Amino acid sequence: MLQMTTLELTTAVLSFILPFVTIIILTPFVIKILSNHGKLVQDFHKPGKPLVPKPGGPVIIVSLILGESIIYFATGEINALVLVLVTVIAGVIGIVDDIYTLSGILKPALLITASLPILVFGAYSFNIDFPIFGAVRLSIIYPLLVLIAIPVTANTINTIDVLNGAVSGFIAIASVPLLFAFLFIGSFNSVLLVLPLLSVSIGFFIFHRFPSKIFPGDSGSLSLGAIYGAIVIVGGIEIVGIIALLPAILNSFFFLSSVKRFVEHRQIKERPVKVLDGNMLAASRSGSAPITLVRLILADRPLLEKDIVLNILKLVSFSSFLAIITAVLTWVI
Amino acid sequence: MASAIFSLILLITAVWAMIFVGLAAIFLFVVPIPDVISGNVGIFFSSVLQVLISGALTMLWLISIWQLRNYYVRKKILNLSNKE
Repeated sequence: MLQMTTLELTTAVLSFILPFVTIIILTPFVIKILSNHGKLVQDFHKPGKPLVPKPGGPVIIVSLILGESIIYFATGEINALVLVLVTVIAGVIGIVDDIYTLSGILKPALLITASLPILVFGAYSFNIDFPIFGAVRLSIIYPLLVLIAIPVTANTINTIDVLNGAVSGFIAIASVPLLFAFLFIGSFNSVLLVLPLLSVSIGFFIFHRFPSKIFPGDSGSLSLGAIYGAIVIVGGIEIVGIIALLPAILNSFFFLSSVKRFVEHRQIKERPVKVLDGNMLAASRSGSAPITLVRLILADRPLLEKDIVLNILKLVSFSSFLAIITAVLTWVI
Repeated sequence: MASAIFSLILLITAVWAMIFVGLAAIFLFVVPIPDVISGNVGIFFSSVLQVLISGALTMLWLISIWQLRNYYVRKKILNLSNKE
């Protein structure tokens, strides 16, 4: 049974509430500032392509840093400091990408630096816990896997940021199995690490959901993906994290295997989805358009944007359920 | 709306189940591979062999997902395109 001290309980409440309140208070200000400075982009999936402020990423980054810093100063948990550093590095790369648009190769290459705090602080275990079969020690390969893990998770989450509320809702739901896994392991400090991510993604979803009042931009989606990957590594729950992210992983895999190269999505000539009259979106029937999760969701018939997002959230709910089953098979049975 | 994602839920379930099949293959057949040569050279050799076989199984897993995707796309998207 998990035992909690008053300090730990207070830290849990503060690391959830304060980032949430920060994002709720700061986001309207950022929307106003971005709008006043003309930092607006077209929402391609709506008739008339309305303008939406972007990026909201800096608010996400500040709120995540605040939450993890509270945990670090209250408990001295070194993994919280690692998460702060990973978020800062990925966030800065995201902001640069929002301003200058990095190439499809340069972005993941730069994101390798976001993995360095994990390696420098030795915030990982060489043992990977597998369901049913037990643990395996990967002394040589694991540090190399850590190096590519953050670019992979950050870009994977980045590619799911295609419709209103998709990425923030996706991360909020995919964070839940991480909480379960850490509870099953009995590591309360690791449970704490997830709370800022959960509260920030829920808080941002309020503004990002259909119809979006702000877009997170690459700074938002990359920092959310990077901290998610870092939590999974420092907590030693790799398999659970992979399974929770399966819809996003499949989306990336489908996209890369259809375009057959690392490419920035803005450079794709043939869009996988087309906008019909009456706010409906339909799958492209072209054989040369990239395969994406949204295109597969639309395979049967055209849908409204909010219904597609609802389907994405249903898929991540299902994969999160499978991840919880996997956690049970790994640490409970 | 449920039918729109039912196939994708099946796809995710298949990918999840294949992780367990792959793990079973690795833990039952690859991990127990003995050191054919004694000493550190033997340990190194069998470790490299285990990594290579596990990597090959992972590639097999990715190819399986790719084939499932191709089947889905042919059946659901390109098939409709031919009819249109």
